[in-house]
Amino acid sequence: MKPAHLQNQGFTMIEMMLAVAIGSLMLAATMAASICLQRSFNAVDNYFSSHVQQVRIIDYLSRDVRRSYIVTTSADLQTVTCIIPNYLVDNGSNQPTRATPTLSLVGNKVVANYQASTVNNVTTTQGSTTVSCPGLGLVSSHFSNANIGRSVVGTGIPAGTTIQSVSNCLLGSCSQATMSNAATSTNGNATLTMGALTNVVYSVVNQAIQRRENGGLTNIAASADNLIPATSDIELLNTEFTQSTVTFLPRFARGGQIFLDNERAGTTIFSLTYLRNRRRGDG
Amino acid sequence: MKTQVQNGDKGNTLICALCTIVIISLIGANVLVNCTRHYNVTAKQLKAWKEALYAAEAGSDAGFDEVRKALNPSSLPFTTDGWAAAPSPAPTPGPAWTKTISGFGQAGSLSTTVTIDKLTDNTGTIPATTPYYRIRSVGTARLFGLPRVGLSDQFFAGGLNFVANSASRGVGDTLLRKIDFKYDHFKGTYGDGDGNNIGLSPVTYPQITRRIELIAIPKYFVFSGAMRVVNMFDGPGSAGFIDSYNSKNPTNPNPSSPKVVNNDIPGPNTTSYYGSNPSNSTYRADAHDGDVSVGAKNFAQGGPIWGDVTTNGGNVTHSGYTISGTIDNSVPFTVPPLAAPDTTGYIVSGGGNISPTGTSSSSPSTYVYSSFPSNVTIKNGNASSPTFPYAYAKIVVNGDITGKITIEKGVTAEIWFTGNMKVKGEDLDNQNVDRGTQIANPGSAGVPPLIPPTPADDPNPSRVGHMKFFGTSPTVSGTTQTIELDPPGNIFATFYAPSADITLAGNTDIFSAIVGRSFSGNGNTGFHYDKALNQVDIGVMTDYQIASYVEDVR
Repeated sequence: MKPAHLQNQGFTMIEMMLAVAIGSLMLAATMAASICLQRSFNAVDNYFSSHVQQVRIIDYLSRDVRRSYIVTTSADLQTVTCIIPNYLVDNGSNQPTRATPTLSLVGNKVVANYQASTVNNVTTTQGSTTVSCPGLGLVSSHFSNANIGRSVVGTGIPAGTTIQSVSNCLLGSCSQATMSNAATSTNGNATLTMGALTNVVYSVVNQAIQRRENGGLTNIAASADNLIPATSDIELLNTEFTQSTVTFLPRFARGGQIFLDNERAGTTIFSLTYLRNRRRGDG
Repeated sequence: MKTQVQNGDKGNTLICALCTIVIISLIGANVLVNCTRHYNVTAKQLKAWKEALYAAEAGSDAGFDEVRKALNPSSLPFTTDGWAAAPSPAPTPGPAWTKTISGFGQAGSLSTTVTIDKLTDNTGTIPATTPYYRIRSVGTARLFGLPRVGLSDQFFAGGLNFVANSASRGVGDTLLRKIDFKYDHFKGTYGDGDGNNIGLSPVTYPQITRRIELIAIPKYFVFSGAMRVVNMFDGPGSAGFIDSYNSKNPTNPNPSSPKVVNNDIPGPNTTSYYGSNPSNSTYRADAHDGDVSVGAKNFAQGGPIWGDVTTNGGNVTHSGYTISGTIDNSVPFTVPPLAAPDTTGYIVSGGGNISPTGTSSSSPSTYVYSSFPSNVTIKNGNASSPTFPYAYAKIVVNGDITGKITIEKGVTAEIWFTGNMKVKGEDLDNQNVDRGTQIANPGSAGVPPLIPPTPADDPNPSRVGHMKFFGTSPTVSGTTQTIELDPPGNIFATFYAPSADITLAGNTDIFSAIVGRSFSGNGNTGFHYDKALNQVDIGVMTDYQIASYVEDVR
């Protein structure tokens, strides 16, 4: 009987090369599949992550618009400014209390203010810091010394404007005031709201969407998300609303610009929000 | 015999395959965890966050509905249907009431607690005698799904996350949605919202709460059209017409001598008041708002109507009538009955001359008559004032009005009467002027003194708006009030009498606005609605409305 010695025999060069070639191909295929899977998983992860941020941005924006007096948008639709009633009284602690409302007239409508007051039938002139009103001793329809130093908002009044002084006063009712900034438009029947107001600005900075409340930054979306918001402010006769969209570019996308645009459009989240406290020049 | 080959090195293929599977599985598991987290955020947490607001708004709606019952003396608010006095510390000055509604939404996962307190305005914006209401509503939604997935798990009692500022509260969703996993963060940090009763309050399930505050203010009636009648309209006469003008327009012509011109809308040979310059589009626009609203189907027309017409079930059409504006036959409405004012503290008068000195419509000089004299003159008690030469009077007549009433320049008079009214046009002598062109003879009822034009100072731009009649609803069931306006003489006054049958006869021109039970006009009576009345409420509360909405985002 002849013993077997097969276990000691080596591969031929051809066998080795063939085996290495096949093995390499298999390994390459496995690696490629792994990388593709990894990319795919990452893309899915990124998609969901961006979607969450989309929803969050829309929710933040809708919540602020809903409670705003005035909402303005920039020409590129990417900066939104909300003037919000200051509901909470800052008493210097982390436990603010709720303000008590006061009533005043805007046009012929009664409105409620929190830590603020209104003057209606105001005349503003483009380029001028002077604003005037009839000055009668009627309810809330005049300026007073209490307005000095307070923030003022209204159609055609730049953000951050304050009342510097009042004049033409009779028995505490003043028909004229001087602002820190000049009006940007002429209006013969504006309504100004003065007092402690909350200013919230949404803007895009380096592809991140920032929310600043009275200058303080609120992180609402991470950077490099490539999120693009667009908000239009629609003002009708008796109502006002905003239409907002937020899109992002999925990482799945590969192709030309038209393809990428279509891919982005497919991620659109839309929101329409009405201002519950609409307060423009005509009330 | 063949020896079996021992090839112990071939297992590495299996190991490689297993490692690949493990690595890919780990990646996949990580993705699944992330996707689950994001699903939780976008589906469950978002759902709860939005539904919490829906719950809060449902509570505020229930509260607002209860507030509106304040208009109905037979259904006083906050006495039944689960309402109870608010627990201490209740909102001040109060009183305050509360109600909880729970068990609605998916699997009964939503609840709301609404608290309402009564406030009084001390700025003079609305009468201090009329309350307004603050409605605070808390909506709570149970958070379904896996708890804590994808959010900070640092919501431990006394932890930094009980402090609501962006630095410590977290970022992104944590800061926005403020999920209560184990404890109610709001009660733990702010108590009732004003720092009272702060303490740990465990929650049964993870939840999201949202808090809103609404302000409900009284809504006052304004004359937004020429006529608003509940039951029946029959007018104007075949030779008359209904149109409008605007006394606030400083260039508007004298409405006491309307210039009637032929025109082709709504049909040839019909006429309309265009003022002295019919080619001026401003006058033309002002002339076409003589709107008529009927709360029933009973509508009959003689002359043209320059404005819109609404009925409730009528069959009014453009082809069958001469109406310039839109027609809608499906507009139901009701007008609440008008209760007589409480005359406690009023000056009891029986004289023919009174001189009120009240300086606003919310604080007028008040008088009560048990019977009205045949000739009453309301003088301007503030005529000599260099700063505010205007006076306001509120007069309550417990009986009929049949005599002459004169109100001097600068006087705004509210005349409330419980009986009937039967007067000639010349009996209602309103000596005020419209804001605009100076006029020497505002009517045919006499020649008042030439009035220096001080339009910018008069808070009320409308001559018509200075003389206001209020017919209080009869308290005896089945009784109807009547108002009869006869020639000669034009009339400059408004009439708010929701239970009165109003008739207008002869060739009288009436510059006015009317609310009544029915209206009937014949002959060539012209009815001219002053659009400036739309800017001034008449002090009659007809409803409540929401004036403010805020959300407590803490």
